[in-house]
Amino acid sequence: MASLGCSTRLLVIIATVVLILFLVGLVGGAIGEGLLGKRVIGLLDVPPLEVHSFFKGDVLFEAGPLAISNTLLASWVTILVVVGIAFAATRKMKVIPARLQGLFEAALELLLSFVESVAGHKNGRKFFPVIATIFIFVMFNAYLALLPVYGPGIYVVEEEEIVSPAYGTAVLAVHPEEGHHSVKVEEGEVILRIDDGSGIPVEVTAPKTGEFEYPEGLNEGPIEVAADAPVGEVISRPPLLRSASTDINMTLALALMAVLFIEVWGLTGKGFRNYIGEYVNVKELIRGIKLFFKGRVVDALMATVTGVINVIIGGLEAFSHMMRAVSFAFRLFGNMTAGEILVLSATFLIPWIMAVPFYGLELLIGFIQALIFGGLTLVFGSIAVAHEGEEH
Amino acid sequence: MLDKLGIDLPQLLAFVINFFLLFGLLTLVLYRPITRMLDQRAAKIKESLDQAEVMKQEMARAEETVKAQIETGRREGQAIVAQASQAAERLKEEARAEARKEAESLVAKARTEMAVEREESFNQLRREFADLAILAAEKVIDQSLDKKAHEKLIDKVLQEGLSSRKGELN
Repeated sequence: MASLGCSTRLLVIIATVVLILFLVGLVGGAIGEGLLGKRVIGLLDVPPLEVHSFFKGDVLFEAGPLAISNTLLASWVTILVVVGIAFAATRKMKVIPARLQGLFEAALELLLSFVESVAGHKNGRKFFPVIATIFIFVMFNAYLALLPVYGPGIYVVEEEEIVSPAYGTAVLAVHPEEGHHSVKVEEGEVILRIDDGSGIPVEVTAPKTGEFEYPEGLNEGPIEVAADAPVGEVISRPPLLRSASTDINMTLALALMAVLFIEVWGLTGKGFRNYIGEYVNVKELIRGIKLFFKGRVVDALMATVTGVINVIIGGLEAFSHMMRAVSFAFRLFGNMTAGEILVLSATFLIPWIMAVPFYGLELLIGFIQALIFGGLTLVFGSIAVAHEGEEH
Repeated sequence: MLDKLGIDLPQLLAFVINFFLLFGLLTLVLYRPITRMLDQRAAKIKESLDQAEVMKQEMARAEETVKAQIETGRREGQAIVAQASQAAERLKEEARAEARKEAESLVAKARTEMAVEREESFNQLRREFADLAILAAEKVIDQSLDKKAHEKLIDKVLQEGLSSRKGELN
């Protein structure tokens, strides 16, 4: 027991507190509500899982042509925090470092030695700022998003939205209750469009207040709020901050930048002709055509076939480079969005204690995703500058 | 399709700008100072190591010099000691010679003094003896002799006698 670093008594107290928190969470959360049939403890008012817009951030306000979304705002927060800490760490550089400076030096040196071990000293120094920026940005986005100021709960904008059909299904929570669907409506009347599987949607007017029940005789299909109907006020409360990595625009921008840098490195490292020659590989085809004119038909045919294959391979190569951006973007987006939903679900089902392990998992995933994004950029960059099969 | 995916050009551009903003700022406040510091420190360590190597060599050389100096010092010391003992020997010799000379001169002085004294006592003895002889002769003859004439006579006799005696004594 002594090896645990605290007395048995303390251990028992900690275990008891954890257990109590777990039980309160169990009873107060969605699972408890489901098991007991009613809400017992009202203080755990976890907002129901609702993703306002799945792929991109929720617009907070418009600034000219640019809509300021909560993900964009979060990325600004990340930049401010990262640059602020970095500035504090390097403001007074000393040969014998202070704590913060030492920490940053150790971390960056680790990253630098990783980059140099993959790309070599000269290329490593060239790649390092890009790789480090990607790594730091992805990791800090993920870590800051675990703070309680992120996500639902804290909002500044409260909008009564006219919902579009696709939007409406997500906003109005559909509860599977006692074997049939119903829609809870706040007030007034809502025209609902019910697809009962016959292909022709049935429009039903439902009271805006109270509970709408399926009319008799209708199959219980998905419910949509009619696009053209005066839907009325659906209250939308987008969170003030949402992890920037859960916005496809952000991950795609980062992926495009990564690919851009990879191609630029390849172009400057190999020279324009060599680099383009890998994708537009017509050398063999031209040789084949020339041979035709010389009258050597068999050789010409062989060369032409090889040439056509080369052209196709070059095209595939170029396509794979473009696909890198897509895979970069969706990998990060998927992981981060899944993480956010996972943490929210855990908090929703059993609040408090059960969410803690998922936060730990998210810390790990944030680091791994940063490493994967940065590491893949590094590897692709190293491949792009590598001289392979000297042809000239 | 891009719209369905939520891809929005202004947003995308905003995030691209964000990336370059972060890239520029971090280059300014993080990468440049820290890589510079790392390089500087590496250079400093290398320099210190080189310096330590130089110091080590210098120390070895200094040790060598000190050893040589100690050797010469020892030799010089020995030479000085030898010289000193030689000088002491010479001084002793000189002192001994001086002492001998002095002693000899003392002895010589004493000898001459003794000779003078003996001469004097002889003379005194002689005078007293002359007086006694005259007195005795007066008594024998009982007549006053011409003292001066007699004295001359006696002196003559004594001279002869003494010179013969002196020859015996010597």
